[in-house]
Amino acid sequence: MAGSQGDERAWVRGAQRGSVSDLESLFRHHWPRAYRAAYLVVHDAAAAEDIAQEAFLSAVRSLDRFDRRRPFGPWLHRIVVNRAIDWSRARTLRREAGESGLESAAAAPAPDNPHARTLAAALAELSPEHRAVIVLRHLLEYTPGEIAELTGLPRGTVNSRLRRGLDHLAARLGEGLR
Amino acid sequence: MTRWREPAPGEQEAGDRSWDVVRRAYEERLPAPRARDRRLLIALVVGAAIVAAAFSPPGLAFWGSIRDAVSSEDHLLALPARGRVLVNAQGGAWVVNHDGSKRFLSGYADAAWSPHGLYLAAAHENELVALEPNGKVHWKLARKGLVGGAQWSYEGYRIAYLSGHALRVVNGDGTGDRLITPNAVGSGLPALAWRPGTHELLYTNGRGQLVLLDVDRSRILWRRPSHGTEDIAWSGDGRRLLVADARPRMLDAGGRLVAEFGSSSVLPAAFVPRSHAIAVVKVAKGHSSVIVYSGPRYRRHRAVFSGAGLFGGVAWSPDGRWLLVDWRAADQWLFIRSAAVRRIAVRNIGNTFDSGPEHYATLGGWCCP
Repeated sequence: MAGSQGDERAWVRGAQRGSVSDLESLFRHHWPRAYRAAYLVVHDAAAAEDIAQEAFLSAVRSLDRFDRRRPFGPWLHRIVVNRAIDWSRARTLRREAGESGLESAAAAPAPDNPHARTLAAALAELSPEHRAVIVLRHLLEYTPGEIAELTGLPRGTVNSRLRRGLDHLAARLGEGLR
Repeated sequence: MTRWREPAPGEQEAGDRSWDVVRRAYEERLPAPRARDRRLLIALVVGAAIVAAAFSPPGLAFWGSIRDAVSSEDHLLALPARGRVLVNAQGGAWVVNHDGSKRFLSGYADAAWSPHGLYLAAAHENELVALEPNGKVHWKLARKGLVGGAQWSYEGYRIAYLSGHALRVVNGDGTGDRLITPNAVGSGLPALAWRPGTHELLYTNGRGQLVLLDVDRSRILWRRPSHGTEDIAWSGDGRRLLVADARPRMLDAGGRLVAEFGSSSVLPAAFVPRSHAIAVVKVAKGHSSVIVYSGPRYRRHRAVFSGAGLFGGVAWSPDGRWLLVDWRAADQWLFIRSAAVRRIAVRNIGNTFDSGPEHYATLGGWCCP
């Protein structure tokens, strides 16, 4: 689905007016990137589904008040990434508290593509905060300035996390990453 | 590094499952389709009535039941407490008076009460308009681009509003319009709120920060990060601030944390008049619950009402004794007595405000005895 900004505004407007098909277009257009972003931060398919789904439910709850002058994607991605970071931190705390195993039961298989599998594994070694900026930059294609706005981080922090994250991935994957 | 283009594990199936959940939530928030279904119903029952009238004497009685079945009757006959309720609906704003009478202000959107309920500020295309609840226009101000989100300061001397991506402030008499920031529109919902008793305006800037600005002195009092702000609201005394973002929480006037509400949404929400207690709506498993949080750290909480689907808004009566819940999924308004379990349900709200499937009527506040 191509989904230009004009399409997106039309879908939001239609969904605000009660069109299920426009809401579905909006959902189908944004679901893959929302789910992938969540998955690449949390590395747990069930959690990624919950996080992305809850972000869309939040969008439905706020639909009437949503300002059509604003792009829908960044708003959704901000919710997804922040919740994914929260979830990852909470999981870390549970592990520290000895409550492991809660998340592993629902884990889905790794990606089929070997390169994707390696990349996902290398990403998993980063902290959730580093993963998040890598995902925002290289999956969702935001600029560092936009990432700073989305995450509330200073621009310099975004740049340093990107640099460190990419250095780590380059070392693990053995290829030149920029 | 190239863009990740591989589907993540389980992406398609998770998408299908989640679409079912999202669609159900969306349909629950919709008023039942009225116009088309009613036409069909009318056609069926009129046909049956003709047959009944033609073939049996009880036909007249049958007409009575038809009238009930297809009624678009307005059941909002009065408000249970003093004050007036503002409703932003399709094609304009409604002002509902204590005696149940209603005034339609055609063509206005995004209307908001002045602090004493004497005036409204509303958007009309690219104009900000100040008018009386009876429709008499006092002034209007044309700006480039759509306007909206108007909010009055506590004594009515200032109005903050959005014009395109810019946040502006104008005096209550329509003079002295000035730019506050050219880019108050980031990637979330519009959020601005005057701190009661002051000319301090809290807003989200284009970088996603909460900013408290002393408008008269052009001095920023504090900034705080906020991720995905959906709404902000001050308590009546300006000492507590609800920030509804990815981590809903209560702050004090200095922006310091007072309490957190967990990770889920707490909207819609409304402070109890003359109190720091607050009614919030939490949603779980397709049910919404109105919960009143109170106490110094908001550790006391009491569920007031739960129902299937989503609630579109909550508003306290000016005396703080009644809570109005817009139960959108049931096409009802519920008036809940806060001190005792007493409810008044008013049905057929969609038809009452002509909201129809095109637009949902939203509560703009219950103002002023």
